[in-house]
Parts: sequence; C-alpha cells; structure tokens
Amino acid sequence: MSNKNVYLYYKEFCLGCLNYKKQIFLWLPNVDNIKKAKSKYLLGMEFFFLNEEKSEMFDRVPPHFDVFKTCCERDDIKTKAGILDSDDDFSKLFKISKLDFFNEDFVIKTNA
Amino acid sequence: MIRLREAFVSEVRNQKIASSAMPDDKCIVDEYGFAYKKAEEVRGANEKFWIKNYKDYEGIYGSYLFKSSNRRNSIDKQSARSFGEIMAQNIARDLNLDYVVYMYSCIEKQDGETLFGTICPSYKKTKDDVEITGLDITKRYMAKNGISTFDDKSMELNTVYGYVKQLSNLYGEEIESERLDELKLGLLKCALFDYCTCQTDRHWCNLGFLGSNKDGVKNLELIPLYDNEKCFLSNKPLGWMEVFSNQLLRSKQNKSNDAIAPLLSAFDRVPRLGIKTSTVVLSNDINNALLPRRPSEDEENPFDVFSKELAGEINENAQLRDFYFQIKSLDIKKTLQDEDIPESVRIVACNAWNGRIDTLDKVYEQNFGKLVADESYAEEAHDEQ
Repeated sequence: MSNKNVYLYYKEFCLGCLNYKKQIFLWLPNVDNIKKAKSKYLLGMEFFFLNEEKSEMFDRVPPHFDVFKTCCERDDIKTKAGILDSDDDFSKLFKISKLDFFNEDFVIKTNA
Repeated sequence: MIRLREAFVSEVRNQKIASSAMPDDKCIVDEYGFAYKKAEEVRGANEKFWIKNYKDYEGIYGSYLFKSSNRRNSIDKQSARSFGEIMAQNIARDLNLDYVVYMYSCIEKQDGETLFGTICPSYKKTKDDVEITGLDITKRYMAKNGISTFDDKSMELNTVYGYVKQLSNLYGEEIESERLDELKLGLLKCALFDYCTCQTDRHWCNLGFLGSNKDGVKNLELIPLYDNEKCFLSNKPLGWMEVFSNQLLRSKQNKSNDAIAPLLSAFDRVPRLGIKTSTVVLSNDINNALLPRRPSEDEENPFDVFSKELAGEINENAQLRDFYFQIKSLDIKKTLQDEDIPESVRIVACNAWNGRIDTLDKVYEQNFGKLVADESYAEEAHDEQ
C-alpha cells in the first residue's frame, strides 16, 4: 500500500481514509468516528455513501472524493496544488487535499 | 463594486485588524483594510473561492463566495457572466422569488492579474443547515431502492417530477404533503424562470434543498436561486454580445431573421431542469456531470417536449399560471435597466426573454387554446394598479 493517505472528514469527524495501490483505491472506514458523526449530524450523514464498517475497493475514484478529482481540471486549483498532467488520480487527490477548503460538510485532508 | 486585494499578512500589518488576530498565512484584504481568510471551493468549472471574515472564522456568517467571470483559455477573457447573474437576480427580485444576492467584485491578484466577477454570501443561515443538492437526493434515492446505475432512471434525471417522487419516497412520512406541494411549485417556478431567462445550467448541483441537522427535513425548503450566470447566453464573450446585438437590431429593421438564424438557434437550448421528461444524460467522462440529451432522429426535439410539458403545467396549476402572468406583465427593459450592464448584453437578454414568452404562448395556444388569466389574478392585478 502507498504510505500516502487521503482522509475524508464530515465537519470535525474523520470518517476514514483512502489509499491506493496497483490502480485500486482502498477505502478504510473509521467505524467509531462514523458512528459519532451519524449521531451528531443526523441529516448530513444520511448523504454519506461509503461503507461504514468494512474496507472497500474501487477501480475508480470513490464517492465523496470524486468532486475533488473533478476540480483538478480547473486551472486555479491545478496551480495552487501543483498538479501535473502526468499525475494519476490518487496523486491529484493527495496534492489537492493539502489545500485549505471551505470547511463545511465533506472535505479531504492529508492528516487524520 | 467590492474590491479585494490578495496579500500576505505582512503587507497588512497595522491595518484595521489587530496583528494578533491574523491568520498565519495568505489572506485577502478589502478596500477598507479588513482581512479575510481564503478557502477553496471545489464545485464549478471556473475559478472561485470562499472568503471568510476573520472575525467569524469558524461560522457561517461572514462567508462570501467570489466567482470569476473571466473566460478560460480565451483571448477575449471577459465574459458577460457577472451581468447574467445580476440580470437574473433583478428578474427574480421583481417576481418575488427567493434568490442569492450577488454583487460585482474584482480581485487584484499578486501576479498582477485582475479577476472580475461576483461575490455573494453563503445561503446557509445557521451552522445546523444542511445543503442537499439534487444529486444528493438522487444518490440517496438510488441507495434506498437498490438502484445501482443512473441509467436505470435516466428518463427522470434532474426533473421536477423526478425530485418530487424521490423526496416523497425518501421522506414521505416526515414531510407534510403541503410542504411537498410547495417544493414542487418552487421547482416548477424555477423551471419556468429558467425557460424565460434561457438558463441552461440548472444541473443537479445548481439546485438543492436546505434541511437541518437539528430538525431534519421537517422544514425542508428550496435553496434560493443561485448560479444563474449563464442565463441569456452570458457565457459568451462581451465582444460576441456586441456583434450579436447589432445583428439583432439590424434584423429587426430588415424584418428578417435569416442572417442571424444560426445565432438565434443558441436561444433554443433546452433548460437542464426538466419537467417530466429528462433533458439531460449523464456524462461518461466527467463525474456526475449532466450533459444535454441529444435525441435520435425519430425522437421529438427536447426543447419542444419541454415547452409542451411546461405549457401543460401552466394549464393545470393555477399558482403556476398566476406566476406566468406575473412574468408576462414584467417590464423587462425596466427590470434590466442597470448602468453597469452593457447595452449589448441587455438587448440580447430582452430579445431572448420576449422570444421565449412568445414561443410558450404559441405552444400553449396550440395545445390548450388561448391563455386567459384567472379571475383572482385579474382582480389582484387590477387592485395593484
């Protein structure tokens, strides 16, 4: 597995992380935090679509991360994150997760 | 116009914000010297970012979204998008619709480039508010009903009836039927507004609902109209608007549209929020992007289908009919009178608005006979006069 992780947050809760190896994305949920987030943010967490209990594999960028991948096409984001055309999807996500996003709902970060 | 200057903290020391209160990285300073923290916004195709008032850094209030109207990869950098946003806002204001308030803005970047655009506040009112986009609703509906691909329901993608059905399926027990009716009317008004303003960008992330982590969906409401910057072909460069408006004026003098027929066809683009029949398909290349549906040769043109369905709703729904009469009685020239908006942009907009109303009236008449105002509306209009 790659030693790089991209962490998914809802508000203050880290819901899990995404790793990447041999073109497969691996979702690793933080089960305790997901439970806490679901009890505190009832409605918002209804729209969480990843596995809450088990790890899950994807052959493409999984839900919640995909919107961040799409924005990599934007010139301003590319420049700020230092994204290269040769970067794979996970590298793009990793670079982009270092940016300071408007901290509402689902965001990605490099640190848990 | 609100002027913003991108700067490092060191440049704004001794300004109106105490240095101890400053964030330790890049911030934005406005024309009065107030400092704001910058945060990225990932949605949308053009440069945009949030500006958070430092005083209310963690809160919702004091957060503003700056959207650039500069065109990407174009020699003619300046588009009419900011004007589109303001024109749509003026129309929404005069029709008593809820809308997000946009203001003209520009930002002087550190590399010397000036970005023109608009700035608007967040439509969330409290920290408990939850934004639920059309896409969220559809995804949740699919998850609940074991639907694995969007194609299964492709004919209902991003339609008024599709959303009402999905909301009813998801929250039928929590939302009162009157509220569902209100939401449906709100969506229908939005579709009619889009039709008349040639708004072709109401994809499922440009419409949504506001719920709450506190009260759930009990008081679910439509998010005020936002992201209308592409109405009236405002995505086009200002130079194009100039040429087109001149040709429009000339064709009126000559009483012939032949020379500008290809340009006028741009007005026939169908709104993306459909009524019953979907006007979009899901892109294979871009995540969750909705593209205009290209019909096969034996299929009816989506614009004609949309117009008929809209006319049908106007025929059946008295409140929507009243709203349409409000639209028809609007003095569009007066509504769009704004010295900041170039005349060429206003000429294109007025022609588009009047053209769409003519088309809808014709479609209505072909299918349901002459459109007549209800007595109640006629009385109200009379009283107002």
